[in-house]
Amino acid sequence: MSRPAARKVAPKGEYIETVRNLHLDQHPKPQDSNISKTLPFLTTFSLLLVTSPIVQPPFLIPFQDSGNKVSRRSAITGTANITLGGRTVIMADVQLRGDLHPTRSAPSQSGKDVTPTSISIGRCTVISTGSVVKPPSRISRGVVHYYPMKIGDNVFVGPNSTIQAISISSHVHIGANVVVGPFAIIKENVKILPRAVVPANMVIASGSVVGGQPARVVGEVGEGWGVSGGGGLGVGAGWGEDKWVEGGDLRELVRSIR
Amino acid sequence: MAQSFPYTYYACDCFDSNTTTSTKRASQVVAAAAATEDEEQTFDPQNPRSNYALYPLEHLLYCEDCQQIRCPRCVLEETLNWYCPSCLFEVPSSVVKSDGNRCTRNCFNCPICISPLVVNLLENADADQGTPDRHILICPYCHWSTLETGVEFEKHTGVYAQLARIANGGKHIPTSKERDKERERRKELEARQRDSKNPLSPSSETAAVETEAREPPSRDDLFSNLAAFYKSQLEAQTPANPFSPGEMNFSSPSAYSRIMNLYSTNTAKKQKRVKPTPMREAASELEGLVIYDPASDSAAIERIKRDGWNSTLSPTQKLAQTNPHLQFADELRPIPTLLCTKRSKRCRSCRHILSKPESKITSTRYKIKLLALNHIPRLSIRALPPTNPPIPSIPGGSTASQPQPFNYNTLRSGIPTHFLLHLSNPLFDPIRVTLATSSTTPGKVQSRVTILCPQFDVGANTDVWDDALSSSPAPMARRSTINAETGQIEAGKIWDKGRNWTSVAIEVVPGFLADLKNVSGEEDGLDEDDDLLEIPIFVRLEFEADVHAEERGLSDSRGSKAERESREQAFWTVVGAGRIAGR
Amino acid sequence: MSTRPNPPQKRTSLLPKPKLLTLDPTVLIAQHAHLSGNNPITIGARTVLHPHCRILSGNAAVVVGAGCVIFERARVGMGVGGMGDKQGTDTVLGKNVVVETNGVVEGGEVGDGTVVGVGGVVGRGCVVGRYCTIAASEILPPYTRIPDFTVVYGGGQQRVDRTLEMRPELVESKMGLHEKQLDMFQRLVPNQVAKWM
Repeated sequence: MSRPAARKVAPKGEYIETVRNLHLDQHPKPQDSNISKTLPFLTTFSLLLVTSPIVQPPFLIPFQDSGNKVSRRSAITGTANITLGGRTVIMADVQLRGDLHPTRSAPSQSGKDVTPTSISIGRCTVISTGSVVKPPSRISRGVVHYYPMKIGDNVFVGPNSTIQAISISSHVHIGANVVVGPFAIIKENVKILPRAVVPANMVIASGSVVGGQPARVVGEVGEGWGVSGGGGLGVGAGWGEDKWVEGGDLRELVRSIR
Repeated sequence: MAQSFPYTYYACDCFDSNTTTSTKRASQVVAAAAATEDEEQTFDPQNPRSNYALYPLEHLLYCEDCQQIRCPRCVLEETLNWYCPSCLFEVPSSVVKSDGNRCTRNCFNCPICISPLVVNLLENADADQGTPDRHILICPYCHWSTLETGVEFEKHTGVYAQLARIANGGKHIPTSKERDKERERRKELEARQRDSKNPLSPSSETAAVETEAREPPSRDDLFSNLAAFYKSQLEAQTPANPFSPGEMNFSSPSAYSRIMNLYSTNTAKKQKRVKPTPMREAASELEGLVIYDPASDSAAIERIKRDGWNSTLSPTQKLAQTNPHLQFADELRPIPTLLCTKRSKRCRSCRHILSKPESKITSTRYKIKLLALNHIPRLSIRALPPTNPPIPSIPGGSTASQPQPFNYNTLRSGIPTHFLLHLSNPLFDPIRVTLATSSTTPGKVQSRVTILCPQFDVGANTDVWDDALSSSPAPMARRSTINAETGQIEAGKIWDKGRNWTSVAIEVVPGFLADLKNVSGEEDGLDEDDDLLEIPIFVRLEFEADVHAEERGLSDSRGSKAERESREQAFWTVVGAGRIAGR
Repeated sequence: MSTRPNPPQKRTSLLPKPKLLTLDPTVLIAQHAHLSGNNPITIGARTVLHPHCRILSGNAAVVVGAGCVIFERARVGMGVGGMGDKQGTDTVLGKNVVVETNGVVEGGEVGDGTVVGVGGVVGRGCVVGRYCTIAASEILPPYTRIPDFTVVYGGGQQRVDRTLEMRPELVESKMGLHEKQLDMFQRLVPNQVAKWM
């Protein structure tokens, strides 16, 4: 495949590590660049998944500093339009729809081809298993436009959530099975409870806790949101001990994911 | 909200301790005496009052002067500023006073489902012929729109002001000036009619003319009528007020004292009692009197017959409206978004500021933030798997990849289960910890609890780098507490230890849900959440600290000079270990 | 709604290409879209199947009308097994139906212009009218009947979208916008329909 620079060997690993601040793929050929296609046995994997969820074998590769971790079993389209900030984790079965990119300038100036960014994700952000990240689209004056979406640093997206927000700021914790509607704006230090449905165009002010269907503000995060408390919870606290808190620095969590 | 296990809540004793109130009333003293008797009693997490005492650690503040935890109930809040959570614009307090705590820009919530409404442009087929664009507010979630109540807007900005002029159905809402004029006009008319017809017949004829000509006055009309009436009454009452002749209103101090005079029958101000003559009450519609009309009720009933329940409103929808007396869906108005506040918090007893955010709306930083989690140890609980594999945990969604994740929702009755209590110390001094709990949990389902090592030390918090640098020497003897022969966990020894944390094992024998049903004899003796395994744990800390804790940052470097004093801290916590599986 | 006896089945999901597949030449099938099952699948003109969506005719036939959009990980129809019943219910999507991400239509009829929101589930044998909206994460239990212009929202509440009902021109413009959306997908999503022809 066309991305030798973007990957650091380790063909057996669950996660492909990319160099920091690098586009996943520098060659805009979205139809060829689905990662799962690079390994033939993984294609059968995805077929099997149709009938039964597979317990994933714990392939482990050692952590390398400053790399994003992208699961081989994630489904990423339009990789050229996606930027990952570094130390960001894309887990298995995550879909990133980079192919739905802004097209505003493209038809007029086909001469110089600037790859538009459709999804940009910050540092130490974790997109959990089964989530879908899809840029929002809107029809203005009769023309369909996809808008680039931005996800900040230290954002946790819970499993099986669907994100179509236009912007998610840093230190946001999104629970499992959450739906964030198109053009929602989520500010810093927000917690979204599991199974919430954030309606389209909703703005969630910083420090809010939202939940429900449709989501409404149900509370405020405490002053201690994201503060792990005096110098961390203890480095090397051993197994089973969370070394991260919701809304806090996710570096330790990212490190623990292999 | 379903809290995921395991969790830890900290109890703030602000209700029981009277430190927050300087003046004790007799009842409180009695209560305090009772409390001291209760001192030995275990904190009961199922007590209704506990709902108001338990908080997650992140929500607690710490007063360094009182050296106590401060929960949302024992702080004083001061509003720094108001802002709209939707457009994030700051609203000056003067505007909040005059216009209420609602956004007066374009932010509205759906009257049906509370989602934020969006301004949409209606497709304009005749745009070429110069017909102006029309806009509506529409809910992206439940698809309610102002078209359902017949409201359209000319511009997509200043919707609040536009909406204030358009009634449902597209009619014009008179401004207060127009109302005043109209009222004057009608008053004159009435007066003239009275003059001309008074000697002859009673006013049945004029009344008929009145009612057929106009529909019942709106709530706003009535309010303005009533307000005008009271204003004129007040003016008549105090004609010679030298300070503010025209500015008399209800909130003025003289109005207040007048009302106080009305209600305080005896005592004081005997000379003033003569002054207020009783005020007349509103007597006509123009003065704001509403007379109950049974016809409106029968009309409503007819309407429900015709349109069904779907045309009526739920209590929540009614209460969200500015006018809570609406009955039908076509009377709904978009709800202007309620404002939010940024608040600083003070300790209730010593008035020191505990938290103060930066006043800028967009800033999420704090000028002052005294967090409990920087002062009291974080206690967490985790299941101890039966075997002892060194598996790195993968938190979050990827638990499926863990070989056998512990299911906290199905604890088995009667089977001893081991948990780990993990205490990490945020203080820069080593602490000595004593944990205590009752042998059985309070509540209907009694589970047996044994803390295998109730007394232990936790190291001081140091810079993370110290730990990273000094980690090369072999870590302390870990997991030494399992007896090699029996596989039992030894009592009296800690489980594991690190730089500023220690973990100890705790054995829990979950109680039986089934027994209880038989004993109580009721159809089901269990309430909701009675199957929760919540363990109250009393934590007591002893440590030596610099006398002036708040200047620790300075004195730390030259610690030898600083005076040391021994301190003690104690509080209840409740750890939620899981849910006992039913049959 | 006809149910037909199923032929004896193998694990059809492992066979990527169903035998009885009727595709309009203007259909857009993205890479990794998944169609399988032994019963007939019919897909109408200009319909868009996004990557990792699934059209399953294991139990009964699936008819997807013209101009539909089936988003990522949505599922239309029923595969084999799971429900344990031998006879499935046909799935019929009308014109311009949108099944959003993770949406499920499990047999039954869905009328023209209806939108099944993100994670919405239309249970087996439901009959959903035209221009309805099933909001995100709403679940319609099996054999529910939903009249035209209904919005299902907020944990199973229903209301009539009177805005659309009263204004036919709004329905028209909504469908016009939908057409534009379809054109956009034709531009952005690479078509792998040749693989299925």
